[in-house]
Amino acid sequence: MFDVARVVEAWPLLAKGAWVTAQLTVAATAVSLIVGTLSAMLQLSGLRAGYWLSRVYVSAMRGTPLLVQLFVVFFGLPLLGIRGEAFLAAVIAIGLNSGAFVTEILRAAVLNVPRGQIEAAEAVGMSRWQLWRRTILPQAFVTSLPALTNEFTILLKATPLASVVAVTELTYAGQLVIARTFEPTEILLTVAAVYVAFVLCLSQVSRRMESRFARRWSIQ
Amino acid sequence: MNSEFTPAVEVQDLRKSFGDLAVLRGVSFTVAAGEVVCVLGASGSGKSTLLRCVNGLTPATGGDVRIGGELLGQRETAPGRREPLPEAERRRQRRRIGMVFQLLNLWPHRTAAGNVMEGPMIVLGMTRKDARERAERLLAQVGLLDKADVYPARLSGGQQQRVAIARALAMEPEIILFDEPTSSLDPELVGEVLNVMQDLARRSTTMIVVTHEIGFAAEAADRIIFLDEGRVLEEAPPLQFLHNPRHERSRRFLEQFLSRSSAFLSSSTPPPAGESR
Amino acid sequence: MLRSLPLLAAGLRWTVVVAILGMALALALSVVLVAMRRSAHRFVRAPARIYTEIILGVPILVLLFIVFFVLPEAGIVIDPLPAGLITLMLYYSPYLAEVIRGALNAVPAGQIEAARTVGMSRFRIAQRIVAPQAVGLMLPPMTGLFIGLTKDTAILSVISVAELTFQAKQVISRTYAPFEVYVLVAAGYWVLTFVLETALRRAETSVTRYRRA
Repeated sequence: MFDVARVVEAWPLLAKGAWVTAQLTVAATAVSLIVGTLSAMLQLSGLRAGYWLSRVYVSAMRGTPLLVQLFVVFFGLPLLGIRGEAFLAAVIAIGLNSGAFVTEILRAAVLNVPRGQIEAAEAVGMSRWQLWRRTILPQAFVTSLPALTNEFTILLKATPLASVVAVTELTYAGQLVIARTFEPTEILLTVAAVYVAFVLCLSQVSRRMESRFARRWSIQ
Repeated sequence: MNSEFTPAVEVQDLRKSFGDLAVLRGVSFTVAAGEVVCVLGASGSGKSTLLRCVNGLTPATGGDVRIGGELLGQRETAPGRREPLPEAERRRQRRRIGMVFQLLNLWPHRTAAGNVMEGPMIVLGMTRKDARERAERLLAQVGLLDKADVYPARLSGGQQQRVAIARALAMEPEIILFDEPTSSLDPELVGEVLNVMQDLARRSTTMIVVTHEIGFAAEAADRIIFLDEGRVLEEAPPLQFLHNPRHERSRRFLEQFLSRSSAFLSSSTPPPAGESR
Repeated sequence: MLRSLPLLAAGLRWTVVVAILGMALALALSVVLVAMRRSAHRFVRAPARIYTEIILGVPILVLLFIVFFVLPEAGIVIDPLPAGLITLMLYYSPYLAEVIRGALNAVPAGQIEAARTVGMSRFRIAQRIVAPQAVGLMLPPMTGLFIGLTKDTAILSVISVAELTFQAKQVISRTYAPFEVYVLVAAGYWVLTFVLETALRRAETSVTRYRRA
């Protein structure tokens, strides 16, 4: 049966793991947003080379398992002289992987910005960069907020993979406890419950953000 | 099959409520075989619900509908005792009532001919060849033989509604119900659909038509039923109803309507291309 | 490196087998979930909904550990391969069910009513009117999920299912060239998902031809 004492005993370690999971999620989300935005801009910039670079990046990330990508980064970093940085490798791999999906989301959103608005901005004499920064991107981010939140939920659910390169996030913390006690049931179910709670929190936050933007810009 | 004196449709004290909202509050009328009845009324008067109850798409809350004398959706087990009909029997009854809807709802994955053939093949068990022959004959009748192998996405709204009429005719129903068949069409496409319907009327097809096209009602209807707040307020031949309505509410309805649609009344549209036979 | 190619090829074959079996199982369970969620009884709908909510919040790796390590505690001992397949099925079926549900709901009600007025039976309506259109609507989102499932077979390497990623680890333990082997393996997955995506896109084009014809 479910023995609560085992959970209580393991809790300090699990809580530390949960904190690392949160850090990992936030850092990878930042990488994902930055890379995804740049990649989307590159793809729509009109530069032939930029377009293909972005397409190949998206295709490679979407076509291969994150686990394998993580290994490639983890074993690739030492070749660049960066050693023993499992957390960094996980942030890069998860961030780059998610960035491909963010590229696709933003690309669709940018293409949906009404043509007239872009012409209006051009008529005011905005530069290309101003056009992107002041007219296109803000709208693209707001309209794609639901899709982006969904993507970052998926990102959160991918962070346990970092356990395979021994990042002591939540899942690895759980494994460490189990390796000592040989009692997987309580620990694994608790770990699963913490993830469910994380996901619920994330969707709450995003719902708030969506309704705030929706009210301010009166977008449905 | 039916005696000359059995009405094609007999509606008795039909009632329908959605929750607390009573949409039909005891509607009664009959339609003789070969008769064309137009149902007029303001929006929200219960016209569409009436048609949906007549063909059994929406179950009525009370009252009876008889098609060719046969009770719809129920059967009498003993005098005064009734039970709901089994689903297969209800389907058999529905085949006898054709329906053309307000919204364009041809099946998009079937060609025009495919839409017409579906019922005969699947429900009547016709061979593909026979169904195809029937479909071609009916598409010719609505002037669309040349569009037989075109998918709905490539047809105009008016053409789609004409195919929908052919689809309803293909089951050789005893009566066809039209639920505002032109109200989701662009104005310039209304005429071709009304012409097909008028042609059907001339062929003594039994029809109940819910419409806002008063011009059509004036020319094609044998009788007009004016529905108001879920009741039949007035029932009269078209000329009498249009020129000398008995009730104040009918008069107000007509005034509002004629002021808006006088343009349609005067315009007479040319017959559809395939009408010559 | 070259001598390890046959081992990697064997791993790739297993990846294909596991992915196909996983898709079939997930699809089967998703159909059950859809049927449950369309049921008239609350007590049938509720478990399916709660199950979906939970799975949406649990990472697949954690689910795999639960299936592989917790079930034996309850007396159900399963081998790695079945445990992996069960995990893929449990994890992907709610997502597939949502896609199927959405596609079924997207077929306009008016078309179904039109079929009813012609006197078609429920089965015939499902078969001739709803299914042909719903398949076209569900294929694009399903393609994404099936690609996700194919990629997630790599996670089964963690419990020693002898698919491509697991074989890669075996090869690395002999060659000590992890970066090169994983790049090669990534290429293998890339080809696999490309073939899958192309095939499913072809299928979608052919079932939705009516929209353009």
